[in-house]
Amino acid sequence: MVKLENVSKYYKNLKALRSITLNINKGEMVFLAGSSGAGKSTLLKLIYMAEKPDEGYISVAGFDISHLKESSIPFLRRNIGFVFQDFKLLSNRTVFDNVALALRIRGFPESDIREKVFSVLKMVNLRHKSDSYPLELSGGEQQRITFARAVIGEPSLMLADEPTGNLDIDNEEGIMRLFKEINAKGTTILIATHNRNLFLNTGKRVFYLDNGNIVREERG
Amino acid sequence: MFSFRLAIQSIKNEKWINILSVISIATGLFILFSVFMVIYNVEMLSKRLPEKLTVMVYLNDSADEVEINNIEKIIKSHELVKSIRRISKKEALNELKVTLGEAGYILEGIDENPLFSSIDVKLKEGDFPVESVKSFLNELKAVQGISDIEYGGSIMESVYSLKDALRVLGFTVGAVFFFAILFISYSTVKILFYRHKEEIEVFKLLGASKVFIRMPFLFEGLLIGLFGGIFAAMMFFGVYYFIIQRLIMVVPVLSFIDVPLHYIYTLPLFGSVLGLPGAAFAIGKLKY
Repeated sequence: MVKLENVSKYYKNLKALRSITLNINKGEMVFLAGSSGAGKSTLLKLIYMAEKPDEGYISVAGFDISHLKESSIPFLRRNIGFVFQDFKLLSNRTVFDNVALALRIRGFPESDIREKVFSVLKMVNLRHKSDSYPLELSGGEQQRITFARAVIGEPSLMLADEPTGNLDIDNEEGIMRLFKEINAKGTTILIATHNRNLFLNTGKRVFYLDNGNIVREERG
Repeated sequence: MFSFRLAIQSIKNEKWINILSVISIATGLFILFSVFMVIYNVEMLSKRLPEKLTVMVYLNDSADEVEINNIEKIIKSHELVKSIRRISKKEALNELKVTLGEAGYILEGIDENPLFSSIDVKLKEGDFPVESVKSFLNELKAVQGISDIEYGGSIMESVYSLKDALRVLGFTVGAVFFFAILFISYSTVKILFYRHKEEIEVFKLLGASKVFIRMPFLFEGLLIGLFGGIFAAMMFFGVYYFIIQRLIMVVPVLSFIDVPLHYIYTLPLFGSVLGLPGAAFAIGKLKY
């Protein structure tokens, strides 16, 4: 599903990633661990093509990113669901509209959108908040909306960058439960985090990044 | 359509900046249209002017019938001439008596008719250069049997010069306001684009195409231009009905003013056409 071969990324003279090679299989749930500045976010950015690698080869969900035209980037991203620490919700839109946006971008008819949005909102237990605005919700609720928006397009891959960074322990567990549920249905998941609790005793593969290098790989 | 709905939402959310832009565009279009009206009226006036001006060709007393017929033939055959009317010495005197009215007694002491026979020449309506009228009259002066020619050449030259000057002025003002309106639309959408920057980033992240991202802004530019055009048209209708029409009633000499109201309906279209490229420039190149 995700393949990186000898990928490096430089910012001027700073080497953010050094010759990274990793392979994530379809349906896997994988963690990227490391402290701030280790290169986790950069690696995710390369996968969804917010950045281009300076060296190496990347393929994602069947897209050969190394040779992908800019005009194809939207189609790549429609195969990826995103969950970020800062939620990236639109504060001037209702919960319903935030989630529906992912489908409107894909050109779904309005008649289908309503049903699908309510279905995912039900999954994250926020059906009753569909008319609320993000800032009226708690951090945990906002993250569940982000999650709903990420899964509504039924992506083959989900990327999460510190998804529990702003959450308390209860909400952290809630979000991780959602990731496990969606992973059980076959979605490949890559979670970047510095929080060891997320992957301890999960049995999932964890890649440890330090100073732009993968320093070790082990089971959580 | 979702993009259109986003544009309407944005106009509602950013009321003040949009209202100011609409007013600015309306003012620009209003000035542009006013200049166009002035040019249009001077053009119309200049076209009708040759027809209004009478060329009087005075004939020598010694000219015989053959010579006069020849002169008439030469004048009639010219492309600028619409019609001619021959006025004999006697008719000229009668016309003068009618013109003088009660003061006609001053002619009583004159034994011999001092007036010349003449040919009253009406020119065609049209936008021909004053030089062609001049050269026609110069040709006539050389014809045997003609003693003098009178015409409102100086008026015509003044109007034609004014028309030329106004054309240049109109073009310059038009170009200035054309770019001003483009710039207003450009800067409005640019500001809105920056205000929506985070939103655009989310759109990109979710896989929105460039067309999807651009469309609401293009609609917004189009709508700002459209509303500006509608507002300008309303302003012009107001000025026409409440100022120009009343002015014509009070000062009848201004009745030559012609406002082609049907052109006012093009203002919303013109506003939209200008609003759209302004918005397109403002968005510029999108990068993922």
